[in-house]
Formats: sequence, structure tokens, C-alpha cells
Amino acid sequence: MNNHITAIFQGWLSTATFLFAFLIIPSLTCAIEVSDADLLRMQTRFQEKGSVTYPENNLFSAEKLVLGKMLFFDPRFSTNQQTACATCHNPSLGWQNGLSYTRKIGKSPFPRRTQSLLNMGLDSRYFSDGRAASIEEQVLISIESTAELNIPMERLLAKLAKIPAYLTLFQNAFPYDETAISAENVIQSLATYERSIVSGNAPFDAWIAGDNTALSAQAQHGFILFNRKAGCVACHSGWEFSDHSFHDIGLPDMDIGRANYLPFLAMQFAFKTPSLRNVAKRAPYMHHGGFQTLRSILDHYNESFVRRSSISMHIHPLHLTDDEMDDIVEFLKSLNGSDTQTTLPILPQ
Amino acid sequence: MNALCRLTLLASFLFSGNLYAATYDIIMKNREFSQTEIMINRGDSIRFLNAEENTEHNLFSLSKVYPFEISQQLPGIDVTIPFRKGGSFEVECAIHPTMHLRVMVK
Repeated sequence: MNNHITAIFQGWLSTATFLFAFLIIPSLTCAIEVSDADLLRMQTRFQEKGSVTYPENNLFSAEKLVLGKMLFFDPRFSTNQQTACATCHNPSLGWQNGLSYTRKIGKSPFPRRTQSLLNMGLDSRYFSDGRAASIEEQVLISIESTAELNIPMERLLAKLAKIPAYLTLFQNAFPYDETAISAENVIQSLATYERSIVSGNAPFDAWIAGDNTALSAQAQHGFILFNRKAGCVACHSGWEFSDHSFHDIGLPDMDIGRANYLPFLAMQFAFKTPSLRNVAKRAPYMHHGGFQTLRSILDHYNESFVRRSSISMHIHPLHLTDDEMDDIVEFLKSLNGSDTQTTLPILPQ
Repeated sequence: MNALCRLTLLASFLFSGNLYAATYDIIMKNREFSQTEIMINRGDSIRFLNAEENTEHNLFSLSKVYPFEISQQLPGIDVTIPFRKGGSFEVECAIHPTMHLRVMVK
């Protein structure tokens, strides 16, 4: 009898050993499913941080930066005298405002979510529909738009002229201009400040620089899924995790996006790929602010997108499991950078 | 060479517009055109090859003289566009706005 029990026990033991060796160990190490060379290739895609370039007609100066920052945070110029650029592009909320598209600031309701200003100096077209070809153009549109600051430039200049200390700041920034307070100089200063808004390094950057402890095993697995099975890298590539391009990703929304300016089939419902830097801190998501969580975005890409003729070739059912989507979310959290704290300026009186 | 053959050659020379029309290749790879400008003769064509592994492109020109748009160009597909009118044309990809090619047609 005892021999029989021992035999049964030994049988169980060998079965358990088999399960542990061939089933459990591989599942524990599932994060390592690519060769070192392949992993290095994937990491290299995100290594090179571009440098912000200043255009020939608006080169950097510290004086422009100081002035631009004051203008950015000063609410006195808007028509309601309560709205600054920073009202919607709030540095405490990832340079956006944490609201979806239903807000109303100027005369007109704003049909889209506020875009973050992070890393826009590395971009090539501006606004989610790409309607501005330069940051300078974006600044002017945002000042005068009835949905944003809602003030004609001439009125803004008149308000600035009533604050004596601003004249000194403009003269410091533009010492060779006969009329220092001008539309051109307001635009140049604000654009210089916007170009300075760059996200800091994140745990992900430490990991690809060689610190293997900077990312959890779950986040590392999420990174591999991001590159392979989910294929997010097709659009979210490079240091900024954006190809700066325009795609229809099948959102259930009637906003035709880029096609307002380029009326082609490929541009119907297309919006610019957003950067994923600090993405976990920047809900709500998508141009319409329709998703509150990163997980809901993955659910969308996994199978919930709208099938239509303009859809990007990169959008197809992903067949990700719940665990895999959780791993990708964990990886996305590793893109939260230690950004420089923004201090509020003392505004001129 | 018999008379019929000579007549055919003469007719093609007279009516073809440009007997020596050439086709030039522009490769689209890594979200760039293989060159940023190209000078061709009227009647020449450009063959645009999408040599990406996994990226679609779009080709368009908003030129008033000769506007065109190729909506979707999948990897491995080539498209040949003849330039029959003179001038300077900006060829772009709507999906990837950093892609620009200036075509100067003499």
C-alpha cells in the first residue's frame, strides 16, 4: 500500500516537474520572446532625440523666451480678459486642460480636445488637422480664433501698449525694431516659448540606455507587443513616439480632420499622430477627447474601430488579450518623463 | 526598309510629341523621396515606387496647371505619372507632410 502511495506521489512529482520545466518557466519568462539583437533594434528606433530647430526668420534669444513666457501666461489680452494660452495649455496638466471637446471659451464652441504643446518644436505641422505649417502660423490662428483667445491682433497690440513694462521687454527682445510692440514680435516671442516646451527623460529612456531595472518585466513585455503584435510602432515611432503623419484610425466621429484642407480620400477622418511622451498623464485621449483611459484606446485598436474606405492600412484587428493590453498600458506609463517644473512668471504691470 | 515601315516611323516622329520621352524613377523609402527635386522634359514621366516595408503613401500636387492625386499607394506598388505640361510642380504625400519633391518640367 505504502509502495503504491509512493509511486503515485512520485508520478505526481514528475508530472509537476514536467509542468514547471516546460510550461510554467516559459510563461514566467514570456517577456523574453525576442533575441537580444532584435530587442536592440527595437530600442534603437526610439533612441535619437531630435533637437529643436529655430527658423532663420525667428532665431532663439533668451529675451524672446522671457517675453514669450509672460505673454503665454498673461490672461489680460483675451477678449474676456480671463483666458491665457496657459488656460487651456496648462503645464500642470501636460500642457493641455484635461477636458474633452465640449468646452467653450471664445464665441464658438471648440470641437476638439486641446492638444498638448509638449515637443511641438520637433514637429512639422500644427493643430491636430495640420492646418498650420509653422508654429508662428499656429500662434496667430490661436490668438484670433473665436474658439480660442478670440482677439484680433490689432486689439491685442493696443492692450499691450497700455502696460508700460511690456514696452521695455519688447525693446530688449527686439532692439533693432523701430516699433518693438508689433504683431510679428508677439508671434515670434510666443513661438520661441512654445518651442522650449520639451518633455524630460523617462524610465523608458533609462532602460534603452542600458538600465535593465528601469522597466518592470511587464512593461518590457508591453514594449515588445507595442513593436510586434500590436504594431503601434508603425505610427508611434522615433523619440517622440510619433511619425508626425496623418491617419484615419477609425474613430466613431464625424469630424473629417485633415480632409478639411486636403480633400482626398486618404485624408478623410485623418488626424496627426500624437506623441506618446507623458501620455499616461494626458487624458482624455484622441482629437475628440472620447477616451478616458489608455486601456480604452487599446480596446478601440483591438477591434472597436469603424471600418471605412479611408482607414489607414495599419488599422486591423489586433487580437490582443486582456493581459497583453495591460502590459502595453504598463509600458506606456514608462514614458512619463521627469519634466522641468514650470514656474509662473511675475507679469508686467 | 520598305516604304510602309518608313511611313510609320515618320508618322510616329511627327505625331508622338516627344519621341525621346524618358521615364525617371523616384523611390519612396523611410518616408522620404529619393531626391528633393528633379528636372525633366515635357512629356517625360516619373515612376514613383513605394519601397517601404510597411508604410502606405499618397501622392498629390495642388498645381493649378496639372493637379493630380493618387489616393493610396501600398508598399511595393509603383505609379507612373506623365508630365505633359511645362512648369514647376510640388509633389507631396498627404499622409507624410515632410515628403516634398519639386518637379521642374522644361
